[in-house]
Amino acid sequence: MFPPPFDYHRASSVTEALSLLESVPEATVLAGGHALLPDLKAGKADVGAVVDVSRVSTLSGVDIDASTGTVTVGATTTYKDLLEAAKTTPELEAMLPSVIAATRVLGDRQIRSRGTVGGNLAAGHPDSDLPAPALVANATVEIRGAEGTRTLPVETFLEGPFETAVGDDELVTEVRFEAGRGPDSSTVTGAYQKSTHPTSGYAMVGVASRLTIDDGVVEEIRLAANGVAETATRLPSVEEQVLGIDLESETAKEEITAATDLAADDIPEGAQRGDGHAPASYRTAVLGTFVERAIDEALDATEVDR
Amino acid sequence: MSDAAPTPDQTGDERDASSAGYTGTPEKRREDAVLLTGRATYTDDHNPPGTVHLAFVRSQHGHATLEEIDTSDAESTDGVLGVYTWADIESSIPGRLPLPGLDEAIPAHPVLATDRVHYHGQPIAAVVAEDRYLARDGVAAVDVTYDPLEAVIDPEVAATDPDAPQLFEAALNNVAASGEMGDAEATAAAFEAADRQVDLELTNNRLISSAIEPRAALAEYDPDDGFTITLTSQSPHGHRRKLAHTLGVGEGEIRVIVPHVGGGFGHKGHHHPGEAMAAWAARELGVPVKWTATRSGNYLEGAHGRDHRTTASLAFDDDGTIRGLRAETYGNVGGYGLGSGARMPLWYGRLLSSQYTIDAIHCAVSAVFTNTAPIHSYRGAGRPEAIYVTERLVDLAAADLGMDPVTLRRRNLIDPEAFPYETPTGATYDSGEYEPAMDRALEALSGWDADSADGRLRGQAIANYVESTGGGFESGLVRVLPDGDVAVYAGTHSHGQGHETTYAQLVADALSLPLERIRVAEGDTAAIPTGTGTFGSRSTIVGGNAIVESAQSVLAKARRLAATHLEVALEDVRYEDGTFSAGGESVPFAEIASMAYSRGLPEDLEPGLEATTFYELEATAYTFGTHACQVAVDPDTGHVEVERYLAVDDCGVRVNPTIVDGQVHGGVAQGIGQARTEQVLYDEDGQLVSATMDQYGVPRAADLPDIETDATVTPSPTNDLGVKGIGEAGTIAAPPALVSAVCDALEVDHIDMPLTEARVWEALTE
Amino acid sequence: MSEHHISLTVDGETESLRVAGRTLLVHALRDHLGITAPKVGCETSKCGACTVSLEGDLVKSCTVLAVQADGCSIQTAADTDDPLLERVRDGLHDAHGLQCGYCTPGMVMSTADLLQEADTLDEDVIRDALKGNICRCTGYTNIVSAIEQTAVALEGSESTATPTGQDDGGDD
Repeated sequence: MFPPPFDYHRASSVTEALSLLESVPEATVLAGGHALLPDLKAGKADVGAVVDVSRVSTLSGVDIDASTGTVTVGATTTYKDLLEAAKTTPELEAMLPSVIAATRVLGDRQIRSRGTVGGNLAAGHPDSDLPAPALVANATVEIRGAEGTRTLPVETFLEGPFETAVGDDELVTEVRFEAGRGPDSSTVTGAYQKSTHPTSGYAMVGVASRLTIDDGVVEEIRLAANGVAETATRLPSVEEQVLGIDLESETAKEEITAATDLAADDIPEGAQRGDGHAPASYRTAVLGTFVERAIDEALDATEVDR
Repeated sequence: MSDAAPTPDQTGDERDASSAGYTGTPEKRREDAVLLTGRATYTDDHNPPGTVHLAFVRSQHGHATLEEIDTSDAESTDGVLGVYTWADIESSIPGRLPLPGLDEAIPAHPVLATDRVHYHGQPIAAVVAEDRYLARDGVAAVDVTYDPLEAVIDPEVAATDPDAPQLFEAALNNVAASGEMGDAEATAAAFEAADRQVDLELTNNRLISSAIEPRAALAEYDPDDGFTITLTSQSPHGHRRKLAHTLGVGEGEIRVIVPHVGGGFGHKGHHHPGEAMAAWAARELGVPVKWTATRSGNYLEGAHGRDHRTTASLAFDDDGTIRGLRAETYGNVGGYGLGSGARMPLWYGRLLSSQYTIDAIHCAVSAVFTNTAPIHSYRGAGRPEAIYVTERLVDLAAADLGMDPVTLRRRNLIDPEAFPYETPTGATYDSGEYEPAMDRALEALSGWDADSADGRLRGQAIANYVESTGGGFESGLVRVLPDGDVAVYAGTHSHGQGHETTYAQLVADALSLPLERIRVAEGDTAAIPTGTGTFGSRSTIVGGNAIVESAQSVLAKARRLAATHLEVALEDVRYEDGTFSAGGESVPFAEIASMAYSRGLPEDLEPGLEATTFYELEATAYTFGTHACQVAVDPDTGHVEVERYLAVDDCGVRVNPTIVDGQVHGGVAQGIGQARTEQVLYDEDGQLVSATMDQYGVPRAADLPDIETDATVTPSPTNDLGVKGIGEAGTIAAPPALVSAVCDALEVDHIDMPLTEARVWEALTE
Repeated sequence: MSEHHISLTVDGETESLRVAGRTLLVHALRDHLGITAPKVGCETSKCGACTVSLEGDLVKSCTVLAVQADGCSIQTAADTDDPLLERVRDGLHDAHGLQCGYCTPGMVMSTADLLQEADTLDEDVIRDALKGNICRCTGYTNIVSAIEQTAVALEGSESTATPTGQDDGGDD
């Protein structure tokens, strides 16, 4: 319940934050605090110091570039900030439908006020809602350290359960998401389907989808799942089979169902995720259903005649 | 401009006291103002000057011997004032919690572990420090060396597996106590004679009460005044008695003050090490010592509830007549017996008849020690376990016959003419008219939209139940103050049930006075005659009758005073709306009160105007009802949504219908929690896996439907008020209703609780 | 272990206090300032009994360091100057939306936040919005009714406050 003793430092700039991370022994980054503080309270983490970056204004903000189809989100942007941005700029949701949908169902109102986009990915929680949409949106994570800046695709950034590529003296500074693109005639759509764990509130199974449809045909599909593997995982077996399906054909529905049945193949057996309430065998068994629903929900939002 | 908001009910205060009376009216609660602004003080809100904090070092193992407890680092930690183990306390206090009714050779729960630990989380050492954070630091610095032992967590395994570890030498096969109810021979004969039989193995899953306020105690000691212990409790006098036992002092040396309590649901009715340890430390250090359990501490130490393994059978004829019921149960006691919790499983069979005429019942129970937290009462305390068995068996019997489960139930309902009705398990039901409640539930259910257009499987079910209420005695003191204000004290203790309001309504009616002249207080053993407490659905029926009887005594004396004052014969005095009158003269109640405390009263009248009643029912009152449930099951994921839920309950006269409904809502929510998301999980080493609210599924708002309520009213003949208890009804009826509805949807016989997505999925894909 | 002098403005009153770096906001409020409204009911940021408004954001004060709130304004359910909170409290009282009261201050804050931000309220939206507030006593039925009724009451008073000269179309 009570964190062990540590020193608190507040950074007013990224430079200061990096300098503190390097110079202060066993220092770790604090932003929204909703991964670190619960861990400290539960005795799962013990740090010498925290470097609070939540008031570094340059680390927060949502930049939407419709021309390049890129959304750059500052690491300390809260979920609430992101949803507000989606409200004031409706294109944001059209560009990142599964990201926004997942953010809406993530945690609860209080958590969404404080938890941050960068903090979410940096914590690497396998059941969290944001990583799968990040994968689907081809996100990259920018990390800064004393040596400089590097950018990693999110699939590389997420290394294992609660393990990510940000080093001890480094700081996640921004996350860049890509909107789906296609020819002018195409429609891009996406969704997020979540089976909520009744005790933790995280995802037992969470599936993000993004499809680009041109003339009724699936030109691009990206699918990813939270909660079923040690990290959020793309579902290439399904993607391969759904790619190219003519949605207006009579067999489209069957084909999609058959494709989604393959989803569990993409979850390696040794890396499955489960707990006392929802064992791994259950999560992988129903994954296909949630994949299908994530596809259906995305398609229902379009005018494609199925 | 519209009349956008419904006009709120006028509160009773504004009503003329001469109108119909307060009983039966939905008075708004007087308790609410301080609660809504957070100004109400619960135990942890109390901070007398100099208060220090106590925290426990808790066992990391489910079963182990303690090789060494090294407290040296902790003692030198900043801010730590003392670190204590059993060796420090055993010479100055008996140090073991009460354990009535078991073989004396079985040790009772020590305040701090002696040479071994029996459950994960058992207190081993206590650290007292200047503040909570420093206490935590002290705890982290204590180094315990364990020699882990094999653990056993299932009560049936603990009792029947010869290789299972033995927790106590004196408890052979880990059995703390065993008992039988009913008639084995008659039941065997009934099974022989019956046409058919169904059998079922079922588990009543282990639960944690999860009151949002964890347990806490603030102890102060003065060499002259003794102990003053402010703590969160359902039973102020009960705690006084138990603390006296553990501390080895007279009850007169302990004053217990129970302030606002943030929920209890059973587990705050009994005594825990933290309360005694805080008291000991307060005496030792001469400063106020406060212990506030963390949530994980609270979950680890329990007490937990339920946890039965039952094999049961129902014997019945081809026409659906039930002939006999047999059950064999292993009930978990936990790592140490805790008070009456050790024998509690033995009583559960009392209600196995439920609402049905069953010729013969036999129930054999073993209460068994395991390496888990101690078990004690949790809302329902034995009744849910029994009703669950019976209702599931009845459903199975109906399926076996191909009969509508409602028809089968109706065929076996106890006839309204048969009351008082004695069951084969020795329960005597005072009153009951089961069919009307059942019919109301069925009528509502028939109107529910069970359309499957969304592809989900729908199921509907009802569950019938009875609930025994009103056990034990209760104290009720009604004290009129010289100005005519009335102070009411009761030995019960509200932790959400609205006694301040309900009791005021009862006394206002008994004295024909306006509600605002009545003030109700509970919780201070220095002010309140010894009572029993709030649990087991007893407060209104026992406490309410106690205070009403006292109010009646007070009124009788006031009447005599009035007769003397008006100089008329007693029988000529009339009393209406707070005024006594006779022969054209009148005198208000307040003036009589003033006279009662003045000089110059006639010889045959003592001064004073108050009365104390110790009230006990002569017979148990049996609440009953029927709950109806509709579920929608997602066939592709196993997710169960409770779409509709209706509780039809008969608790006799409903003093405050809104408060009664609130109790039903809360009980149903907990029952749905048990049935769908709650389970206490231990691993095979006795490690508690579900040790936080992240891992134990207390329902949130989105997990529950709008809970609908209805009532029939069959006044209880057991007491003048005609009331019965209601607090636990929901936890009794909801689990079988929900399980039955899901089984209906899936067309399967049975699924063990909780009906998680994974379990339902298994049932769907088998 | 660092110590910090901070100031918090709670329900309109500014206080100075000294806290450790690790002191949680809920403990700074309760133990240092004697503010009893936010309560501690869990340790994994689940129950919401500690919910307050921090600079207008609804937060769980058990998951914020006190020092992070330095210089900030905090509102708790004890604020009796806020008409919206008053309405929320009245709504809960009228609907019997509380029993033991322990979750109630947090519930009051979450309700007020929801009423301020949400465009449309139906039962599903309300139940979903209460995900971060656990009540063990009421089963939520009356809390949901209270929120629905309060929303209606607010709408009613808003339409009566429509600026003059505008025809509000006779809507309620």
